[in-house]
Amino acid sequence: MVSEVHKRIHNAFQVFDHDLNKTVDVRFPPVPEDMLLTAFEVLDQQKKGYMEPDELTNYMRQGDEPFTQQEMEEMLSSAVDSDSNVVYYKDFVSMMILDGER
Amino acid sequence: MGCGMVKTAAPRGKKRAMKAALLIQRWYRQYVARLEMRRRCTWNIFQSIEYAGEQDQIKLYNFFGYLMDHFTPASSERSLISHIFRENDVVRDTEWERYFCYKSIEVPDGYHGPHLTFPMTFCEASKLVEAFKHKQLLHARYVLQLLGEAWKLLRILPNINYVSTCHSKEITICGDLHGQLEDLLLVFYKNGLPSSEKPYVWNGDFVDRGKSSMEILLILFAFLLVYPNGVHLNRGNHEDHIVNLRYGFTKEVLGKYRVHGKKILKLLQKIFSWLPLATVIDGKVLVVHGGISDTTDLNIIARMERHKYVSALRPPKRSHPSASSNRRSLHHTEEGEEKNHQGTRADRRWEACSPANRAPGPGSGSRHSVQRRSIHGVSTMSRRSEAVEEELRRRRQQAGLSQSLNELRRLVSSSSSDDDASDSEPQTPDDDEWKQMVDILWSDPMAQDGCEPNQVRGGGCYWGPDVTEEVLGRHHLQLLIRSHECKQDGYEFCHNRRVLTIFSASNYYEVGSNRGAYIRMGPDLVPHLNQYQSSQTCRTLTLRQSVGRTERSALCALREQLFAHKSDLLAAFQQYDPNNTGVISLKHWASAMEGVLKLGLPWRVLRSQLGTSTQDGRLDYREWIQELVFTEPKPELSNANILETMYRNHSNLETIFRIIDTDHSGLLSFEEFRQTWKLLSSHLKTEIDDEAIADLALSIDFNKDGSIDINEFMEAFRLVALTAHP
Repeated sequence: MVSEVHKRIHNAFQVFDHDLNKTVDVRFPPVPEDMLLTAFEVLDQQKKGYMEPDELTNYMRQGDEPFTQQEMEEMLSSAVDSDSNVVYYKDFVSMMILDGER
Repeated sequence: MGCGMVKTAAPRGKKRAMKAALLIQRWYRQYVARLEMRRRCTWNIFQSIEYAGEQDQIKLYNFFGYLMDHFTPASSERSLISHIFRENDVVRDTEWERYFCYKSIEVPDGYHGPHLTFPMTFCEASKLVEAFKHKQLLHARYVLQLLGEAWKLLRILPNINYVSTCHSKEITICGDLHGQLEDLLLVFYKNGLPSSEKPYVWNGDFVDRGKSSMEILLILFAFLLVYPNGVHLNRGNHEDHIVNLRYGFTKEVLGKYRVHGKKILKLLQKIFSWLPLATVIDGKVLVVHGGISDTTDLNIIARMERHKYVSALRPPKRSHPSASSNRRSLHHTEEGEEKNHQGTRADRRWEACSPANRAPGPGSGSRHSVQRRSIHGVSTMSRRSEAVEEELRRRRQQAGLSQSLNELRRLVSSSSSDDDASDSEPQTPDDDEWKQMVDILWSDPMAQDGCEPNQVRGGGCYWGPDVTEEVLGRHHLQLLIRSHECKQDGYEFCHNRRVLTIFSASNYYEVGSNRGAYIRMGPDLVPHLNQYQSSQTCRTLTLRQSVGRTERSALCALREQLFAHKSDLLAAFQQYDPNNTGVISLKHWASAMEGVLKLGLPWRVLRSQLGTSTQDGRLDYREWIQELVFTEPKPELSNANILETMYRNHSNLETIFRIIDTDHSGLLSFEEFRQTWKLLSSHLKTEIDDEAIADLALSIDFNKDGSIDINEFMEAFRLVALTAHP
C-alpha cells in the first residue's frame, strides 16, 4: 500500500525531472523559445534588432530579484558581440537554446 | 486621439516591459542552473575515470603480490616480478653514499643552467626558482647533490612534524601540486618565498601527471635545506615509485635525465620513504595527505619506522625467521616437486578445478612445459569455487587492504601440512602499522557516519563525520586539513567544518576545470583561503566556455572508455534483447552501461551527449555502438579482441613494461613482451594464445630489429577521435 503511494509520488516528480537526474529544480521553470524572443522584442522598443549593453543591464537590474554584478557581467560576456559591442538578441537566444538542448 | 492614447499606452507598455524583463531573468537563471548541473556531471566523469585508474593500479599490484607470495612461477617470470619488490634496506648507508656520489659527474662547459653551491642559501634557492621559471634544466650532478643533502636531512626528521605559529605568526599550507610548476610559482608570487618568518607546509602529491614534477621537488628540497624549521613536507600517495611508474613521474625523470635518470629515481625512492607522514600545528591542527580511519592512532604513527614502507602499496617483509624460511621453502622446491605441489594444492582447495587434475603434458622435464604449467596453475586458482571467492571478498571488505594478503596466506597455508605454522598468526605489528600508513595516505571523507574500505580507489577508507569527531577528540585536535581530492574551488569544508580539503593544482582535469588554493593560518588557527587559477587564457573564458571546454574533454575521455569496452557492452546489451530485435529500452541501456563500466555516472543524462536519438524511450544499440567512431590505432590486427583488451589495459601494460625494462632503455625484447602479455592475461583471466602474441610482437617491431620500443608502442594506442558532430 505504502509502496504504491511511493510509486505515484515518484512518477509525479518524474514529470518535472527534465534532466533525468532525479532532481527537480523548483526555482526556474523553463521558458519556451518564442516567448523569449517576444520578450526581447518588447524590450527593444525601437525595433533595432539589437540592444545596447546598458539598455539590457537596466532591465535586468529591475524586479524583486535584480541581477547581481556577477550575473550581469557573466550574461554580457556571452551576449555582447565583440565587434559591434551590442547584443543581437536573436542570435543570443538561438545560441543559448542550442546549448541548452545538449 | 493623441494624448489619451499615449496616457493609457505608457503604463501598460511599462508593465509589459517589466514582464518581459522578468521572463528573461528567469530564463537566464535557469540556463545557469543547468550549466552548473552539467559542470557537476563533467566533474563526476573525470573523477570516476581517475579513481577507476587508481583502483586498477592497485589491483594489478595486489596481483603481483599474490603471485610473489603464493606461487612459484618459472624463475624468468619471477625475476620479472621481483624487480618491483626489491628491498633496499639491507644495504648499509655508507654503500648508498658511494653509489649516489655526484662527484664523478662532470658538468660540461656548454651547460647554461644554474650552478649550485652548498651549503644551500636563500639566494641559491631563489636562483633555482628563477632558472626553472625560464625553463632551464638542472644538471644531474647538482640534482644528485641536492637530493643527497635532502635525504640526509629527512632521515633525522620525526614521522610527525610538530609546528608552532608563535615564531612566525602565520603559516601557509598547500595541497596537491602534481607537477604543475606554474601553480607553485603563482603561490610564491602571491604569498612570497618560504623563510623562517614565512613557514610552509606542503601536503603531499608533489609529483605525477604534470610535466615539472622534478623541478617542484628540487625547489621544495632546496628551501627545506635552507629553512629546515620553515619548510614541512608530508608524504602523499604519489610519493611512491610504484605509483610513479604509471602516472608519469618515472617517465619524466628518464626523459629529462637520460644518463643518470635511473640513479636519480633510485635515490628518490629512498627519499620518498623518508618523507614525514604528518604535521601538527600548535598541537591542534592535523595535516595529512589523505585522511584518517576509525583506527587512526598518532602514537603508532609516531613510533613506526616509516622508511620501511618504500611503497605504501606493499607491506614490508615479515621479520620473523620462520616466515622467511617458509618463503625459502616455496622458492627452492624442485621442479618435479613443484608439479606435485601445484596439483595437491589445487586438489585440496577448490572443487571446480577440472584442468588442474590433468597430468602435465609430454616433455615435462623441459623448461617450456614447466612454464606453461605455472601460468596454467594461476588460471586454475583463479577459477576457484564461488564459495571461497565470496568468503575472500567478504573478509577483504571487512578489513581493508591490509588483511587481504593475510587472508590469502592463511587460506593457502591452512590446507598444507608442510607449511609453517607462523603463517596462521594473527596480524603482526607490521601489518597494523602498515594499515595506519595506508589510511592516512589514501582515505577520503564521506557524508554518512561510519568507516568503510575505500573500494573506489582500492586503498584506505571512506570515513564519516562521527569518525572525525572521535579521532580528533581522542587526540585533542580541533581541525583536520587534508588534500588528495580535486575541488572546483581549490578547497572544501566538510564534517561540520572540522575537515578542510586543500588542493593546489589548478586546471587539474582541463583548462578552466578548477581553481587552486592555499591556506594562511595564524595563532587563532582560523584558516584563511586564497584562490588562484594559472594561465591567462582560462581567466578570460566565460562560464559557458569553460564548462563547454571541460565537458568536451570529459566526454572524449568517456567515449574512449566506451570504445575500449565495445565487446563487453555489446554482450551486455544483447542480454536485454533475447529476441534479437536490436533495440532495448533506455532503462536497460543505462543498467548495461553501469554494469560494464562501473563508473557510477548518470547514464541517462549523458545519453544525449554520447550520440544517439531514441524512439519512444528505446535505443538501437547496434547503431549506437557503431557510432563510437575512432580511428584504429596503428597495429592493425586480424584479432580485434586482443586489440580491445590491450587498449583497455594500456595503462597496466605500460606499468608492467616499465617495471620489466630494468635498464630503463625503453626497449623490450620479444621474450619480455611475451611474458608481459602472459602475466597480464592471467591477471585479467583471459586466454591469449602464443601465436597471436608472436604475431602481434612482429607487427609492432617497427624497426625490425627484434626489440620493441615502449614509447612507440604506447604512442600507437593514442586513439584519434573522429568527431561525428562538430
